[in-house]
Amino acid sequence: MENSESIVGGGVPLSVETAADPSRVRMGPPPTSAGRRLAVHPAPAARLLPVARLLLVARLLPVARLLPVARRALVVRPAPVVRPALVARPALVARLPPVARPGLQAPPGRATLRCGVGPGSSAAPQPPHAASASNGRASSSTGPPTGSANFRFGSEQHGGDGVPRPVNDEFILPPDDVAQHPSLGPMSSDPFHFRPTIHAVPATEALLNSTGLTFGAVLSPFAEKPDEEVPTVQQTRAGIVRCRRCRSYVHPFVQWLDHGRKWRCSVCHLVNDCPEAFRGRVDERGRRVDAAERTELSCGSVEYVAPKEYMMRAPQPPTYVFVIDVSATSAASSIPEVVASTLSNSLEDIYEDERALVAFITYDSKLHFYGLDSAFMQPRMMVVSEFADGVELPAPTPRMLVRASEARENIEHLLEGFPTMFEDNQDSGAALGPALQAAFSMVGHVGGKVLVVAAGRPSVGAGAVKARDERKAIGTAKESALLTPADNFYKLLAVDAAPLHVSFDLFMLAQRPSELSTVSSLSRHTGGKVFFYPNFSLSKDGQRVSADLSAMITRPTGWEAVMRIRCSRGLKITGFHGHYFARSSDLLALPNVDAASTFGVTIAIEDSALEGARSKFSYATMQAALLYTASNGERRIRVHTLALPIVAELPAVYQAADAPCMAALLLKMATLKAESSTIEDARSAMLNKMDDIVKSFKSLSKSAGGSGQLVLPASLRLLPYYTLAGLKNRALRVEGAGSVDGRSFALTRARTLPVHYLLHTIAPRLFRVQPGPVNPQLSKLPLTLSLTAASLGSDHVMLLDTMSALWLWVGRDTPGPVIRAVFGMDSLASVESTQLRLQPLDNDLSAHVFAMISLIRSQRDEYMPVYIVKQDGRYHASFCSFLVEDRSSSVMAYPEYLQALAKKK
Amino acid sequence: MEWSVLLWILMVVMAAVLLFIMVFFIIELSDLASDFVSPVECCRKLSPIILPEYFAQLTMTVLMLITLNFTAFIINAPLAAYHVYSYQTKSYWLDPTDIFPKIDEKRRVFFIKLGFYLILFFYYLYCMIMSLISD
Repeated sequence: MENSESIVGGGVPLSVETAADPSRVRMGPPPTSAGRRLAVHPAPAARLLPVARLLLVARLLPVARLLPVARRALVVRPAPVVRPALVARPALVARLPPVARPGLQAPPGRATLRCGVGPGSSAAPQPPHAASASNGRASSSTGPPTGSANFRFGSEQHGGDGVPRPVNDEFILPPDDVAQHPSLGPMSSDPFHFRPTIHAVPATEALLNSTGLTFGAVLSPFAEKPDEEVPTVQQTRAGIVRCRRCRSYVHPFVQWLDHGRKWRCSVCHLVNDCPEAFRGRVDERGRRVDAAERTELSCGSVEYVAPKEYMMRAPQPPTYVFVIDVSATSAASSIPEVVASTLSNSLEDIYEDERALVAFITYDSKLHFYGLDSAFMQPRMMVVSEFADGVELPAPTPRMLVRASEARENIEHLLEGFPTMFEDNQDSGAALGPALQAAFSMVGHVGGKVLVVAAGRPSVGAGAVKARDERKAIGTAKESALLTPADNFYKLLAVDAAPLHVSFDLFMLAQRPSELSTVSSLSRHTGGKVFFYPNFSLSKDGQRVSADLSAMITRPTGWEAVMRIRCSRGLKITGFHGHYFARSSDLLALPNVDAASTFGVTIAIEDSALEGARSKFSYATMQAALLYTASNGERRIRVHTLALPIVAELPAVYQAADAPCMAALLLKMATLKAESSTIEDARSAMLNKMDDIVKSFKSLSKSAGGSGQLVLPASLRLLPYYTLAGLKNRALRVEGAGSVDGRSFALTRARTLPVHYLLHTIAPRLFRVQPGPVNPQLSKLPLTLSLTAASLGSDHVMLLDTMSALWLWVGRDTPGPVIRAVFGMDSLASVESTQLRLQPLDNDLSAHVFAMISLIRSQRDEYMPVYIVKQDGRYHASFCSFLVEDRSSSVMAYPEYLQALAKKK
Repeated sequence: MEWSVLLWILMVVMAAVLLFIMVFFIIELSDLASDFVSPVECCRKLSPIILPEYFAQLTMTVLMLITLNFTAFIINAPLAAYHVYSYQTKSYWLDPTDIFPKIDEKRRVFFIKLGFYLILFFYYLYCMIMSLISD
């Protein structure tokens, strides 16, 4: 509502207080429209007298609300929409308004839609049906009745064994037939940024329910698409054009009325006056002739440079506080050393940034502060050991939060001394809570990023937690209790920090159970990241910690960000999944945002509103606006607009379903259930969902029933695969679940990873290194193999890409020359696999292996260590847990599961 | 004046106070749903009142039991049981990070309790009048 984005973004220390006061929240950039906005809004209840407020509330909440069951019972399920045989691909194309699609190469067969593009084009308007008829793909609708729209599992028709598997696809983009959907042109946001689970909006709730599908989206607002930048809008005198009621930004899908003098917002349907400077000629089809020249009218994802009105204070400088555990446990595993050497290397960018601020805090059972003031020749250490009644920062001079560029010498000096300073530390306490409080009070007035490197469970002062006994609970219903925080300290700190734009990134380098589920709520509610290295040892994880830490410092970050998602009438956001703090039902506070920040959104359909919307627009719009401060101090707004056609026919809904995205969203939803209920509930929720989808399809489609074969819409063919893989993932599996920390981390990953990373995590990619032509300059990865033990031959060398690591698996009978070429030794029999290191050797096979590894690494954000596993070795069993198509003690094998699904009635 | 009259007056006052607390809760949650207050603010206002409300209702229940007013006790008992349960499972805590998905659920609970206290209020009023008359 309104543009409190801008207010919240800038209003830092005040924002908690101001939010309560409607008049303050309501004041927005263009002051002229403020009055009007108030007028159209439902009466501001907060200002009425108590009695009036009560009356208002009573009016807003009909008694029916109390009895949702009764209400639901009243909803008459419409007769299952004519039961079409799910054959003909409906003319989806026809449902989108004829709009200009500049900047797009017209692929063959689709020229008709585009022929009118561009200024001065004289193409005659095409009636929608003509457009679809001349669409090359429309001809497929005359195909066989069971046409390509459906996928018959187990039949030879699709080649191979008829069991669908994902192919080697780096980004797991929507399937081709979905990807060519008109809404996915460059005018709508890219699936890389904003990806719906169905690339169309079912016209009624009943229609959606009859398919059993889940409607929602996964969005990564700050993602960087390889080789592509989000275009920046040229500033004009018109300023930023927004709807005056819902404050959505102008986008390619608005309607132009009255010869371009007015435009109708597609989110709230208000007719706005177009500012003089923004006007342009409109052709007979209601399209702006100059759309191609205006980025905001031709691109789904654009960026604005925000003017002064969007800030209430100067944009914050990049601010980093390092909170480092230096207790005996930490020193024993050389953690201070790793951190210091990483920081010395990666602070280079920060030294060059004149605005960047840096501070250091270390802790054992005491807190150590460092005065880094450039006025002093040497860094000064100040120890605080009394913090029973809250932490007080030591004297203001020498300053602790300093400009990195000015205090460079002192910082370098400190980092040099770091490893030796705590070498013999005997203090094994960990006052993490007080250290975090101190860090927060240090940067609360600025905002920023607190990087926490912890070596274990916090044990001293506020926020100390006792280790909970987890041995008996693992794998049982009691485990979920251990996945919820033992102490609300971290959550409450996060709630205080998020509105002040402070986020916490947690690096947990633990050797013992570390209560990750408690401490990680810090990051969860402040938009931070969590990194977890179980059984930390320098040799195993050193490089990885270093790479991850340095990535968190150097990667492009959006500071003091807020994101609002506006949905067209008829769509309502019902929940978010990810790391954020919800300030209102559609506004997320994201103190820090980076390319990996990802959010799942579940969306409900409100029939009556959507029905009304259809009279004006044949498509629904969702717009995510992210207001952030770039590291260079520019305040920017990144706007992603997604337009989806509203469809009333079942085949169209199925056609537009995006199985990978849906699988990812279902997993994200399951993580919530795993914590609030039990792991078992989360698992059965996933299974029931799949059952529902199969059963609904069976009851709706004639061709699907009877034959004993599983038939699903082609677009959903991979959903059973991902469902099964999800159940065998560390986050949800029953057997071999490991520690509660491990589970908690796996759930965190599932909650926060983008679609393709998440799906590669649950269903890793398996490659065979040999045989085939050995190519030292590999440019493309080989085809992936199915994830079953049958793919492993005892004389093979395999490479498994699990997203967080690479596993090189060596068969028992691998020929000697291959082993010599890859490892440089004659036999691996006498060597423990943990001792093995992969070294580049001077031969083609070794170069080939390294080419594969570096190719995979180049596709990932995170550093991926290489683990070597021997077929007879210790870690073979862990390796096998990634083979998700095989049977495990609690979950069926993939073909079995497909058969079981086929039998569902 | 007899002690029972005093007791019923006390009960009427308590029920009225609880009634108003519920109204206050519902208004706050509605404000939250329409973005008039931030979740932090809303939880800060409501959290300190929840336990006193539980305590007051439990006191009422216990008083009814010791004064052998079984009808009133039986009316009160289910809600008292619910309060004890929600105290034990800590589900009474309003979590500012997780309040949006739960607004509707909480509001429903508060509405039911509102209706419940309304019934109680009139029942106590009736008892009070009866005891005044018999006085």
